[in-house]
Amino acid sequence: MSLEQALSGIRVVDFTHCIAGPYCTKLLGDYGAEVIKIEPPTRGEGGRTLPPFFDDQPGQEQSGLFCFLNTSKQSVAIDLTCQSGREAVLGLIERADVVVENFRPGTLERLGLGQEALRAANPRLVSVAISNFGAAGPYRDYRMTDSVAFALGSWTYPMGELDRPPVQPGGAFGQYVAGLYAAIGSLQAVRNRNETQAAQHVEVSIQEALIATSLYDFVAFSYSGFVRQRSGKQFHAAFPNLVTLPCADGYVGVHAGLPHQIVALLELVERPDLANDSRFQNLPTLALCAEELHAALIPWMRDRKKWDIYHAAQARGIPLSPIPSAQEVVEWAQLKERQAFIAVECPGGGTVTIPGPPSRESGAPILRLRRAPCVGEHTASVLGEKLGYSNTDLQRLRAAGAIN
Amino acid sequence: MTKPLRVVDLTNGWAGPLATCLLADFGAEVIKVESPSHMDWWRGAAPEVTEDGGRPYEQSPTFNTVNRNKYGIALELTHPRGRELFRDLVGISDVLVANYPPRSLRKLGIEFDTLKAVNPHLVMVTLPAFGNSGPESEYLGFGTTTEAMAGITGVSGYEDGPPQMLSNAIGDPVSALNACFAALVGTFEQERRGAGVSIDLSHVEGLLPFNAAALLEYTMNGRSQQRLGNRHPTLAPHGCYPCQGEDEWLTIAVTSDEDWRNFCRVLENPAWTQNAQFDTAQGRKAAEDELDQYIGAWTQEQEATTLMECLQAAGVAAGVVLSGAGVLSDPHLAAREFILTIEKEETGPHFYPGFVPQFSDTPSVVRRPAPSFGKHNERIFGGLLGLSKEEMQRLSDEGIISTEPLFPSLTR
Repeated sequence: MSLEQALSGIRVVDFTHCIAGPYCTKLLGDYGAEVIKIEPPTRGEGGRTLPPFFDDQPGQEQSGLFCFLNTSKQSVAIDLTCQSGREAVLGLIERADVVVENFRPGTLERLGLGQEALRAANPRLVSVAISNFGAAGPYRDYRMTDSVAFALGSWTYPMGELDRPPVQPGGAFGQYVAGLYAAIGSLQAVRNRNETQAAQHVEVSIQEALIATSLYDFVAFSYSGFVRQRSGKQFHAAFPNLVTLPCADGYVGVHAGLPHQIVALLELVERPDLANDSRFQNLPTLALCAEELHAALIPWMRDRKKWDIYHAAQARGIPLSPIPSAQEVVEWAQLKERQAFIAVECPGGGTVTIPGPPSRESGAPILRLRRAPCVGEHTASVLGEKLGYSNTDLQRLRAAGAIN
Repeated sequence: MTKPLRVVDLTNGWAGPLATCLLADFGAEVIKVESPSHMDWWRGAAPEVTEDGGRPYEQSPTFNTVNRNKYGIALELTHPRGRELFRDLVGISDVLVANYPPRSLRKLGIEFDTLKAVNPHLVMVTLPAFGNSGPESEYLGFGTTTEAMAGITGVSGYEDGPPQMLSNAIGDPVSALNACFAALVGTFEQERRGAGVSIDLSHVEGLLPFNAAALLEYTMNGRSQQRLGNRHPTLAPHGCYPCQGEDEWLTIAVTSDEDWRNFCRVLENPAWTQNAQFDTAQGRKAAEDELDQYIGAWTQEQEATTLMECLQAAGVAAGVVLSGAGVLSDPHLAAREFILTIEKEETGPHFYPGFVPQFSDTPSVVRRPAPSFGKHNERIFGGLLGLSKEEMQRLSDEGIISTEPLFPSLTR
């Protein structure tokens, strides 16, 4: 028994592409759900061409990100624009618990696979839709990039220097946040469905997912009219002691917000004079002498390396970290010891090292994951075993271009 | 409706409380446990009643955001009788979420092996910053720490500047979502095996997927990404441009040659755009500084929202850089009724984020605001655990339960 099978018995039909949707169904699959990924024949979904690429060569089956986002899934290649393709998919939906999609709003309706059609096929179905801005509202059809998501998701405005434009966070995590919300929604909806025996639709908007995971701005504005200004390398104008500082081989992050942590830090950097200064021992006065604190830290940091500073500080109970590069994260001893990264095979051959599942049973090794599928790798087995299609049926559909 | 889960919430700060807040939004009966000597530090203020009888610790916007829909009790876990009552509570609950460091939980006797004796069906989720094992498992980390250790801070910031902590410490909300997901996975596993399960969630490990592209760039091609600011590795223009008014900005992303032609049409094709070099992404990328100057000069004369609408109507990705005030006046969020108004006795009505995800047939509702300190002691200790009025009075006299923080008479 293991968490690997926690969700076994949950059957998911997966219409997703790129990042947000596939991350949702990956999570469900990694913990044991049966995920059948429906892809357009031949080329597969768009995520198969996302960087980074093996040997830096873009192309089919070259995407490492796809290998990560599509573990624990089976791929069935079906053309949804033709009648026999839709019939096959509705057959799979009839026996599914959950359908997940992240098409542009209205796409499934146009394909004749809207809410009504799905519920008619399966009155106990949980349908999950992830979209940029939700299925209704004036921005419904707006285009979204990661930069647009962070801007309209309220993450960008408070970041950066006051005399420069706001700066967006690094990476593409908005899509992952939405995918994780959708995975949570899928499980909660299945729990509800198991009681009510009634269908349920779950909606996640990436914009709303980003706003719901921000915390310091609009509620505070509602309370007091407070508008947080950009505060450069400091985390937040109200927590100026949280800051990134240069050191001998890069940067460290000071995450010490409480007076006793600051005092310990001042002792570490051999400034007993300041450690004994009452201004550094009380929260209200501490915030006022941030610049002085940073000035005391910088000379000591300058001659030392980030991982040495990290271990020395943590040994004294001070929350401080290096600011590691990707290489340093992958090589970090704590993650190695816990086998946080795992190697999985790739559909095009070879292996790729990816982050393992987010949680594990206490004391148990990390879950083993099945590799991502090739386009249509499971078309024949799924349609044959689940829907009873004969070889002749499959040949006919293949000849008509409905499946592959 | 599903039989509601009963969740014991031994968390503070942001990550743990938001995890249980989601479960509470879904209808779970979440009991938040604070202690008379240690209120949730997310309440922010000094744990004292002011001269005019005000309670600043009830007025923290951050605390009140992530604790709605919960019951709140104050129980002294450093006292043996407090720990006994805690075990009684766990005994009649389905899920325990705890985000204290592993060392503190051990000291309080809050360990799965002990608790499964009182509740063999318990789903327990612990979420220490770096996981429950490994050489650095006792190291301290907050949201900004775990964000850094997942490699996200290192790739955030201007291309010519230092790394920048994110505006909202992504480590916290992501760990919250991971913990909520883990708790739900745990309930399925608990039903499947007919026995409890203990789940170990490392904040950092749960964050690694959120930086997957950069990490894979290293594991596949040996490259560590650099900071790019508002720019994109291959596309241009891609930036954050000033608009009319004070501190108004619009982010614009031109993602293809077709986008570029549409973008130029919105600008009404000024002379500077008529340059064959700009017809390809490669050419535009090479002239990025020049392009940004032209574009900034133009956007400065435009109103941000109007310009976003024009660009989006032409098929170009653009988004107003919303401040907190901007969120509250955004027409799209308003049309979707995303922002909720919740009234708490000590603060009056205020705006809070709506529910994500949204359920069509069993929608989440606001049942109560974030609990005032010890607000539901009577309901939980009297109603649920069946203590008599006399017993509760005795506990209160001994400082084992309380409706006021007892700090600093009991120190940390």
